[in-house]
Amino acid sequence: MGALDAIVVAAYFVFILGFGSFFSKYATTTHDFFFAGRRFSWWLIALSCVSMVVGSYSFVKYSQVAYEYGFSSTQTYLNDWMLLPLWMFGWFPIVYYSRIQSIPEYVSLRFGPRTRAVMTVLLMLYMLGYIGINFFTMGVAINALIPWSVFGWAAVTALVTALYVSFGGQPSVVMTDLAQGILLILAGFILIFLGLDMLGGFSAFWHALPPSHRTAFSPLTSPPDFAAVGIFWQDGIANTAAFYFLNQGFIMRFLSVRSEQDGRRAVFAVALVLMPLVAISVSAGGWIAAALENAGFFSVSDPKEVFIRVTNFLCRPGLFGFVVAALIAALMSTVDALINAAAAIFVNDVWRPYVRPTADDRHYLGVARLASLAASGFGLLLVPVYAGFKSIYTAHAAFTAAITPPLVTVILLGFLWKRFSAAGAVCTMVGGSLAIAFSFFVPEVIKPFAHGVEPGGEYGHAYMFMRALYGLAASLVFGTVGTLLNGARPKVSLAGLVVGQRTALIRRFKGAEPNLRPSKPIVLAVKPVDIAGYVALSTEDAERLNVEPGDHIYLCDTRWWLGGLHSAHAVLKAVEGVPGRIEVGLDILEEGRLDPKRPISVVKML
Amino acid sequence: MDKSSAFLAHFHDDDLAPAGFASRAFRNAACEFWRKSLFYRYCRIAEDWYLGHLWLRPQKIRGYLRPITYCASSVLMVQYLRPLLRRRAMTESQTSFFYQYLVGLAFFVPGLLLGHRVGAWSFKEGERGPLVLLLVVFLCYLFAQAFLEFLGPLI
Repeated sequence: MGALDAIVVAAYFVFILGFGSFFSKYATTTHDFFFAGRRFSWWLIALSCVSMVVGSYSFVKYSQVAYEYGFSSTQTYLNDWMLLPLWMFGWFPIVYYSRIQSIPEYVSLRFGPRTRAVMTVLLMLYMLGYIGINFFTMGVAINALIPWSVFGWAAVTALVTALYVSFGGQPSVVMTDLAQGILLILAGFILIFLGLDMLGGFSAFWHALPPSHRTAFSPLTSPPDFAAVGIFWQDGIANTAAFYFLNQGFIMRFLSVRSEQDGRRAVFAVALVLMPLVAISVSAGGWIAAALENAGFFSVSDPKEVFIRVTNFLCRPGLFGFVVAALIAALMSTVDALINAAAAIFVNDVWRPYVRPTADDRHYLGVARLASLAASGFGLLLVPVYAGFKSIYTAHAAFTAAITPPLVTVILLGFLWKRFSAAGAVCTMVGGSLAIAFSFFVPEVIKPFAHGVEPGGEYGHAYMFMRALYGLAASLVFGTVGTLLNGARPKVSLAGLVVGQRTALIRRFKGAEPNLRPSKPIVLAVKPVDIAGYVALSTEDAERLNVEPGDHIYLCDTRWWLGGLHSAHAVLKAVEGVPGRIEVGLDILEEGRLDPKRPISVVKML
Repeated sequence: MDKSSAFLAHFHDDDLAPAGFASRAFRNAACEFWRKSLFYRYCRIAEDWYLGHLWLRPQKIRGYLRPITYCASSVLMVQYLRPLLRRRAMTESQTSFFYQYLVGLAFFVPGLLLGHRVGAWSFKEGERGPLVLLLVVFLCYLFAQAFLEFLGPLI
């Protein structure tokens, strides 16, 4: 790595720190800190989600897979469609309208506080361990490019991330992830462009690829570490469900959208439009490397190094630094969401219910900031542990594999099956985890679920991918048996906690009968009034917007590219005044950072 | 009869046999054969179980889910017929394509039906756009991957 590349990487760090810190002024309450005031547009959330999905290892891992297997490397990123409608119509309305702030909080409402405690402990262990792994991976990756110290590079990354997350919260996370998402997609496409240019165009690239590299899927049952059936159950079902239904960072991102409709649009764009672009971006290095090698331009000695090798081969000084910055962006955008999510769980599921239940919001905001710093610090402390004891790294991977299917099953059965009880949930978590742990020592139990896939290793390394199907099946059995044997119906009220109660949920969210009549946004001039929480429209404008006093409306700056950064939710208090003008309380204007001199877009919400 | 009722009716027991291509006697015989087949019985047992025990009200959407049961069950058949498929020149990765889309539909379609049931994207209110878009993009995925899978190695 040359001096120019190092300057580009350093400039990236400075830019992200400055960019993230700039948005700290938008986090003045815990609602802002964790959910950005629920004000963002769908495209902002969608783009920022992309960088959260792509981890630091994605470029390295998928380039290697793409080099070895070709286009089938995209399988992992192209199988989110299966669970998408269930998320959009089943899970998302529940989390959006029930005003829950964390997954354990949902578990508490659905099953009671004991189950919440188990879920909180498991999630915190998983997230803190994962933050540490991300820092460790990044330290190793940067140290390979700029030799200094694995811990030193991990510390630099941790410091930059911790600073902007601790001060800026969710607004900073979303905005920096937006920039980083664009950066990492761009990096992959730059590699494609440079590779195609060197090979002599798309046709030359296509014919330089081995025929086996041109298929969309890998063989169904081989090899053991890349069999399509294994990817289907591990990535397509278990991991996708864990990410969409269980990942606190992902859920918080979608609780930051301004409306349910925007949430649906965002997840649609993420899963079906942006993920294919990301799949191409992270795999591009491998495809280009395979074609370049076949065409005799260069050779790869170790597939694990294919991404760095091909990037170094194709990029000029400066551009190489840009791609490395994208690699760092992939890490930071994943870990910042994890830090914010860990802080949310700590504040909402540990501090607020057990330590200080009645403090004011300023207190919780301070705790949230400290928790973000603590999560980063704890993750950093794990770096030497991971570096010194590789078995701990493996143990965390095994722990994740063991808890993911049971937790996913608890959430899915929890909102899909009314009768599913707290006893069933505990049975699922304990029984499912133990069953999976047992499979690490006696992997033969997975064989009936393996579809004929070979073990591919011993003990914990056997049936790496097919363990997910076994785990899901075991968890399902434990959950069902536990619920049926328990006999009793759930004691807690299930209103709004299971599918099929959307209208009731909206009614509870609004506190009145929802206004679901069709409406189109209108643009109005603003008249500031010194009455707290006051919003009034003229009779003509209220008719155009199809709203009545008591309805929820959304006031937004007309500059679409702000993505809702300058906006506020409000309740229509009165229908009076001059047509073409909306009267808005000063407190609402201040909260939404709305400029009274500019016209605003008024949208009916509920 | 609205569209959803018509769709439901299409899957009522008496209409299981394909219509319009043969005489009534042939259709009845085919229908009888179909009902006595082990595959049909297996599907009905599975269907009764999950419709009866999970969140769905059987009477309303039993008809919608029946084809999905058959699709999921077909996966098992794909498993057992794989050696035969290989002899019929279907590659292992092409089998993966069918596996992904057949089993995947078992997760995908109930979600769509759920959306329809909760009225999120009702057919009745003329809000077909998003639902149609979802299906169109899904079909794009299916066709793009099928194209790559079946024609990619040949081009």
